[in-house]
Amino acid sequence: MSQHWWFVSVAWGLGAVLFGALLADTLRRQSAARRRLALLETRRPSGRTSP
Amino acid sequence: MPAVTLPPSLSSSPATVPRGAGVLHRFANPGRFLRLSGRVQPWLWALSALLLGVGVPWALLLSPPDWQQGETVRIMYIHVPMAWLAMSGYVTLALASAAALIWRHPLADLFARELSPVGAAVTALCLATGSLWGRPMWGTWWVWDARLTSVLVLFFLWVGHAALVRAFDEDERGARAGAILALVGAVNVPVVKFSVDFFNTLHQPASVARLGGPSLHVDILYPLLVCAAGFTALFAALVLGRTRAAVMEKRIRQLQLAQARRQESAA
Repeated sequence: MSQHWWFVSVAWGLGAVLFGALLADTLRRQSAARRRLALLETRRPSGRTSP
Repeated sequence: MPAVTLPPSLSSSPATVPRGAGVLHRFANPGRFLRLSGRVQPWLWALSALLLGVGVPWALLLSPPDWQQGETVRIMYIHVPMAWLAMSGYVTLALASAAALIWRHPLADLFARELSPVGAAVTALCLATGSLWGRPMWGTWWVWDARLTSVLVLFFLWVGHAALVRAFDEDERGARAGAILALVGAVNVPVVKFSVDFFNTLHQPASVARLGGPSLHVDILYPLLVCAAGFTALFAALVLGRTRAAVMEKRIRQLQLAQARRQESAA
């Protein structure tokens, strides 16, 4: 592998790690919020609700 | 039983909607936003997967090496989209901040809050990949020329916004301070864009978005555009997903507060 390919690999590797981390964090937050919200909604007494 | 009511920051009562902001506020209701974004989000994930599934192998394996840059040109397929996203994302942040300050759009604050960490990340990636390209091509990791320095300032603006909106106990005060910073910082975007035209820089001038049309050969231009579209769809999906999570988290805090009040009044 030439030296140029090392720079290319590091650049794309950084991109993969960064977007992978952002994606994992987004999906984790969404699923945790959805789960928690569903739990609270079932516990809530009936009445006016929003949204 | 006490009713659970949304605070002004998340309600969208027609009586409080400023004139001229009716269309904007139609989509400000959190429930409507969650429904609409829930329908759009899978398509954005699919679109980004499809475009990057085509664009990345095209950029890394199928496109030819450049006659001057050799294989290093393949860094451009990630560096250039990150630079475009850093700038266009910041314009979006400024628009969201304006909507929050002028029309008091209930979701604009949350959107801006969730946009800035992603914007900071892509700007950091733009700087890092630019540096990785500069070392073999220019013989240096960094130079203090107008383009590189103005992008570094843009990165600090992104990080500053992300930190500032989280620095206050009251979310609304943080959002207001962040919105002002975002609007003031928007001055830097044309500086980034035109720095290569106005100053004598080591960074090359624009080769795609220019008056005379793109100066790149189609073998490089097409995979670049596909990668840029893919990263843009991924960026939009991430910001939308984070905003959805933030809306739900805000709702959770309201429900927990209502629950605590009920328990307090029952005791």
